[in-house]
Amino acid sequence: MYRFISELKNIYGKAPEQKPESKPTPLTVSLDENTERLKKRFNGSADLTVHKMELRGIRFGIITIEGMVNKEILALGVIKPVSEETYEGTPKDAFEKIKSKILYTAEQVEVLTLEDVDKFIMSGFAVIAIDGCAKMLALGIQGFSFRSVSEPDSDVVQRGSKEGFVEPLRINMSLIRRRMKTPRLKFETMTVGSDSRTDICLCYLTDTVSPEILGKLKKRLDSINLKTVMASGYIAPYLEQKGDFSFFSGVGISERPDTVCGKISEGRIAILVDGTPSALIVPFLFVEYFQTLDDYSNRAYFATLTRWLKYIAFFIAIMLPGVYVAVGSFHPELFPSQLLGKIAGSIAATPMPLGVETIVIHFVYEIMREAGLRMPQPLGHAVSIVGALVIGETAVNAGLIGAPTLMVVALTAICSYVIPSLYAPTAILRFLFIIAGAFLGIWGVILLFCMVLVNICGKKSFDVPYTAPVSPFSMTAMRDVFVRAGWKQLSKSTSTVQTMPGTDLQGCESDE
Amino acid sequence: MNNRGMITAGQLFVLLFISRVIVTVTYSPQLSSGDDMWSHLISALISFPLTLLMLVPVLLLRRQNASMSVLEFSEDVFKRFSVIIILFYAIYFLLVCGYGIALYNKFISLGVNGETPVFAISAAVAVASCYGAFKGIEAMARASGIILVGLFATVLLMLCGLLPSTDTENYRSVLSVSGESVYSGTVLMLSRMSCIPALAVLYPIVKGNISRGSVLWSSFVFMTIMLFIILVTGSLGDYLKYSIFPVYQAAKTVNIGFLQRLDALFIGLWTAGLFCRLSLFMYLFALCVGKIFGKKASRIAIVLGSAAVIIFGAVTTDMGFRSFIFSKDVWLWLTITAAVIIPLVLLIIYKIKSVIKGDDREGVKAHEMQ
Repeated sequence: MYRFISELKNIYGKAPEQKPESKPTPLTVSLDENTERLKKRFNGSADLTVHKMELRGIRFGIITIEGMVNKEILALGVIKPVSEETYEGTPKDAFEKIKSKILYTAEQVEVLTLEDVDKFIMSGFAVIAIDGCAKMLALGIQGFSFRSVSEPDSDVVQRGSKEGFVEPLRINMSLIRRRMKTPRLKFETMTVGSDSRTDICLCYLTDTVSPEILGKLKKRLDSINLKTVMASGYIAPYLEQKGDFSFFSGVGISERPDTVCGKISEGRIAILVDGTPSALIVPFLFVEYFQTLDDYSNRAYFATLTRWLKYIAFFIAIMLPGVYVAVGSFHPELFPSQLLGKIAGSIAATPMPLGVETIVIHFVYEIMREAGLRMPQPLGHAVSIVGALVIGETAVNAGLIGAPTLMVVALTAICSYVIPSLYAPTAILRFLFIIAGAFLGIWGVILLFCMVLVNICGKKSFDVPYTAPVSPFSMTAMRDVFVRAGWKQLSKSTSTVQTMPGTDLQGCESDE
Repeated sequence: MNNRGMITAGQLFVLLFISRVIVTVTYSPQLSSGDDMWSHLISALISFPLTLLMLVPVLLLRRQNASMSVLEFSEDVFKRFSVIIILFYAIYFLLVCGYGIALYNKFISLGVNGETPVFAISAAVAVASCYGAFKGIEAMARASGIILVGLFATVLLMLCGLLPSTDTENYRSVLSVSGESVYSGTVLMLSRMSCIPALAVLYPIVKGNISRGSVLWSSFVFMTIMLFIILVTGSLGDYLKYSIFPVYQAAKTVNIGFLQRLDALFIGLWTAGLFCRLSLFMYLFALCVGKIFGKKASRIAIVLGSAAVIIFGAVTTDMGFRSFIFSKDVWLWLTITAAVIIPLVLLIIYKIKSVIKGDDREGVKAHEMQ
């Protein structure tokens, strides 16, 4: 337990006080000294490879990190041409010859400091060092293995591209660039995490993005004091407005480059994190949870229908069990007369109070869901059978739980998957609504609903009201909120996120 | 509590509309000395222009300086003694919350006969409103915009449900109603105009046309009141006299096709509306306390104010409609003082002071020229 806590502290704890940027260590002319210092910096790490050779009196060294470079290119494209050449003159002349006449890799960078050598070799570069020359040459021959571009698991669309983001940052950048062939699209890279030094990249359209939002985003990214950033989820909390607690996030996530491009074109900023197959999007509004790429591929009337289905499913997912418990426990007279007998009979036949019963079934369902996510694929069927037959049917037959309650839970569970990105807040709110309904009846449910409403209405994402354009209301924006107007209508005017009603951009100085 | 944010006039009046209309749906003949609800149709017609008149001092005060609320005007005019006026407003806003919770308790205990303990519900309402006040006026204003849609939908459903059951025989000539009853109804309606003092405190943070908004707001408020009176009288008839909460009773009787038992909607509507009302007035209370004791104190004031409202609700649960809590005369004077007398006095003194200042300046100028 103690280890787990210290592990957590290690991950989320504040990074040690940043020392003022120490002076970079310049390279020396001695190959041995440079490589020794490098090995010392890496504490003799096993994956640091230094390959030394001597050709016609000149000593060379090729420094790489195991598994980060393409060995074939290294052998045939670097070592072979370098070793086959003849060298005359000083080591500096040899360095210039290798740089300008022998090697033709796309990325060649002259390195002058030991810190830069660190940075390049850890990014998959091979670094050539020559004894007698106080600089090195970094060659971009990255060759680490990564997953190929494939369809995302969660952001599935019926009609549209099947490409999703992958882990390497550069490939994700290219996926966006391929869809936005404009010089106005800018990629800006930064590094976060004092130990992991994870590369992140901001993507935006230079003439569409709000400078205030961009400035504020950079300020918030600068404030990240984590030691390690292993996924985009680590930095998302830092992008939320300070003191704006909510179950709903002001930072959007997408695994699809086409979705991200659509958002960028509306003035939003995408943040790609190296090692994460998804992009963060800011500012993000509540209504965006209900918009999917399929809405824009399908016919307008059908897209409008599906959008309304999503709204209704969301309300069912969070409120139905709460309302059911409230009405069943305190106001049974509100059930239609035909239904009243059956529900009342079911409630009377089960041993637990309705509220407890509903919570227990939901709890069991959440356990099964969590187990289904983590367990090996073939065992999934077994869990389904155990859940459906053993727990579900047997418990109803044994009279432990009521069939109407089980139906309510099942309907709620299905509805909560209509918008997968809303699952986390939905699951929590559902429990809260059940508790409110069990203790205070319909009043509790309504009051909790009002509190949630005020909570999301008070939230802002980079100074843009989270509930815009519903409240504050914008009639023109409604063509893509409650209905999905046809493309001819949508293309009449393009609006950006910073023009949403109620937006009060303060500038990055007054962030918090 | 969040910092003062800018809201639009539309948002403010939506918030005030909900705050006012929610009190309308809690109409009880017991509150107006057992009068007939039908008589109050004339009362509504009289109260409408009177409400517009009550708005005038606040609007004139705003015209003097739109960035100063009634609290800042009192600071400017009375200096240190302004504390008395600010304290009066703070207590007034807290009492409005207390009135709301007391009425709600009455409704739960007498109207609904539910199994949930009254104290628990009123405590929950106060706690939720405390949270609303903490989130600030911007959050409340935006939330009220969404709640208004629900309110409209509920009213529309009630309209559809009640219209077929209205009987023209239940209406008698409005001219045959007694003057005393009309007077009583007018007093009741004017005494519930606590939104005008709220406007006097809030207008500096509002952008938009407040004068036009005020007129539209009062028009819609009285149109809704009259609509309720016509609908409920038409559908309940003589039964109205024996009903403690006629609008709720009327909602209960709806039975047309799938439109049945709209009382659940009514409960939801009232709870949501009361939440808006209490959050708003708790926020105003905190604003007044913050003016006296500083910004930090306003956060504590919300918590203490909510606690006071819960206690107030618990104490007054068993008090009858004749008690001082529901006394329309007491409320009328309190409201007129907060909405008319204080702003009018401030306006006059401020005007006089600025005239004297102007004379002084002219005198100085003349002296300099000589």
